[in-house]
Amino acid sequence: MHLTPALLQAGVTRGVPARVLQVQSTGFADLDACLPDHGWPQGTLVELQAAGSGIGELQLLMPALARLGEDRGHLVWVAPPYRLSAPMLVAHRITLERVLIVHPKTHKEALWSVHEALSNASVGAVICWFPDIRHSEFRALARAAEKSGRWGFCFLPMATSPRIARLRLVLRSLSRGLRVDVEGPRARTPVVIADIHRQVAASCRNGSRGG
Amino acid sequence: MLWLAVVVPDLPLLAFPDRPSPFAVTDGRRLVACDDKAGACGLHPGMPATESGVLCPDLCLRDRDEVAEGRVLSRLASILYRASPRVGVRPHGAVAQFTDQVTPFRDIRRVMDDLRGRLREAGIGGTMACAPTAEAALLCAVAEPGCILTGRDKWREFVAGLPVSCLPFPGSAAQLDELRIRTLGECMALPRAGRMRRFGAGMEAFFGRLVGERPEVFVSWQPPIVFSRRVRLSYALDNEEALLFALRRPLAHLTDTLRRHDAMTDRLTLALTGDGQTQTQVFCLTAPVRRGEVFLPLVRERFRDRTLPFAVSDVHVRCDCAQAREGTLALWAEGGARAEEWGVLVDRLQARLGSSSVCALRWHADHRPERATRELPWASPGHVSFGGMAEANHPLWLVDPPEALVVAHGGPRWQGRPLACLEGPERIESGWWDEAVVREYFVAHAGQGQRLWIFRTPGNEWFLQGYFA
Repeated sequence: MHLTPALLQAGVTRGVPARVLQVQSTGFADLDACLPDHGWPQGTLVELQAAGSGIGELQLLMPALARLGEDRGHLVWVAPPYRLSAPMLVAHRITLERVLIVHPKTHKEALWSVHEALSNASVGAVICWFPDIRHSEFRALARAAEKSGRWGFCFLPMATSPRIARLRLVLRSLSRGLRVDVEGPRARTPVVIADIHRQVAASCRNGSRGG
Repeated sequence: MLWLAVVVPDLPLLAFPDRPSPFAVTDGRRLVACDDKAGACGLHPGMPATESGVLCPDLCLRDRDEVAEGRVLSRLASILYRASPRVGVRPHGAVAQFTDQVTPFRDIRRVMDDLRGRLREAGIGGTMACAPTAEAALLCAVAEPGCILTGRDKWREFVAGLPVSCLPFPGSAAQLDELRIRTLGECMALPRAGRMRRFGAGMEAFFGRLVGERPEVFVSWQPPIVFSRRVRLSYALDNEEALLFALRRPLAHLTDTLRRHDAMTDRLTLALTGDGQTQTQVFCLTAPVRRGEVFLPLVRERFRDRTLPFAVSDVHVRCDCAQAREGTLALWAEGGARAEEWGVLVDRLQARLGSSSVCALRWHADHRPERATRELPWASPGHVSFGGMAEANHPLWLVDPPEALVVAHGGPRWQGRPLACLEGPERIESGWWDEAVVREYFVAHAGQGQRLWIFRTPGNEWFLQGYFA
């Protein structure tokens, strides 16, 4: 019996299990269309760079986090720069009982906390902030996310450093909405999410009325 | 069978060891107990709490502390446990079971004298009595303190002569009194069916236990299980790996102890001694476990960043264990393994960062934004979130405490740029009971598309409260 070369190359005979990559929709159709996997890919630590606080950088994540926090998944927030508003998280349909906030005192503790959370199977998503991070440290965290298949979002300051993450989003504010530049494999043209504040507020209102 | 009962009528008072005088305890509406000096002013249990202040102006009135009462009762039970292995805790006292023939002291009178001395020493006091059934002993301890009835006495006749006022059913006692039934004997002579209809099955069962027709069923009190091991080392430890190695054996002992007693634990105290200093480290778990080795990785995390403060020559491991509660495990429990994994993560984070750095978020019913959101240590139990409906036009990030803004040309400025108010004002006026605030909130637009949440006070001061992140 002759096996076709294509079958031999596909790793079938070696018994490599096919890895099914889950993708979580961002909740914004324009952004989904722009992302390489049409959503937030599983097992990836996404790098986010925001030009200033208050441009809607967290609201971009909220629809996805609400779904990742369902089904007993916990959301771990490491070193958030400000206090999260509990009523608003509830408005975004996030269960407060599954929110864990970690305040590490040193950079080393922060790295360790993120690594622990990303390696844990009960965690839905990890959202972390670093004022500065080395390439090797970021790669170690990304590997942990890849190994356990968690969703990770890492906010870094705006900088011109070369891209280290598989997927990097640069968020800038325009007068007509939030401009998202996606840098990654098969990256497309930047997308503008028109009036993100109003969009998210409207979805909250609909959600609370429906629920 | 012989039962010894100890009744502590002023148990609510004993819950407050350093009480002033006059002193009384209330359950919110009525007095539950009062001390002698308050009694001399005309106070008595059962009177409305509002009246007590009028009769006795310098009265110290406290709410009932049932947790502390439980501690007093378990102290009482541990004293009785010296004389008998079968001890039951009751709402206002405890009972201990003896056989008729053999007691450790041969004579029940000597047992009672001995216990009386010990109770006085412990500051509990109380009255005691002996009878062939537990309920009879409890009744006698209230009505005839110090009496001893054995199976050879005519104890049923004695119990029948007791007044109905000593029944542990206050409502029924008053009802019986209206029927002109004065003694328990008259009550027991009533037709059974009618008595059952009028006073309920609870009282019927009580009479059955009182005269020994029904068995006395109770959960036997067990002394708390405390694990304590001290490891004296012939050499001083200076690194955490050596400490972990030294802990391996006591923690294996802990596992054995837990297995033997079918117990669980969620807290380990480690006292390290060396160079004349002692340091105590406490390790907490989110869920109780049956294995002592679970603490080893936590100890490793705790000492990962910091070296041992001194060369350790003596390690003391202490652990309070509790009887395991769950009898069966759900076979197809969903997410059981996941919940366990989550517990492991929280335990590890707490062990390394300290429990104050690992927080849960709670929503408190308050209009002031900085008070509505609370971050509490994950370990602190029992904080239920307020489940209301949020305003959708508030921000996700809160600046706490609010940041004062510079006012120039009549308007607020942020980072040197003027702010343009887009929406508002939304008025929040609340907190008259502790910290009154009167604020007018605006959604403001800064350059570069940033949206801020700012407020103005009546004094025209501007503050930054949040970011629409």
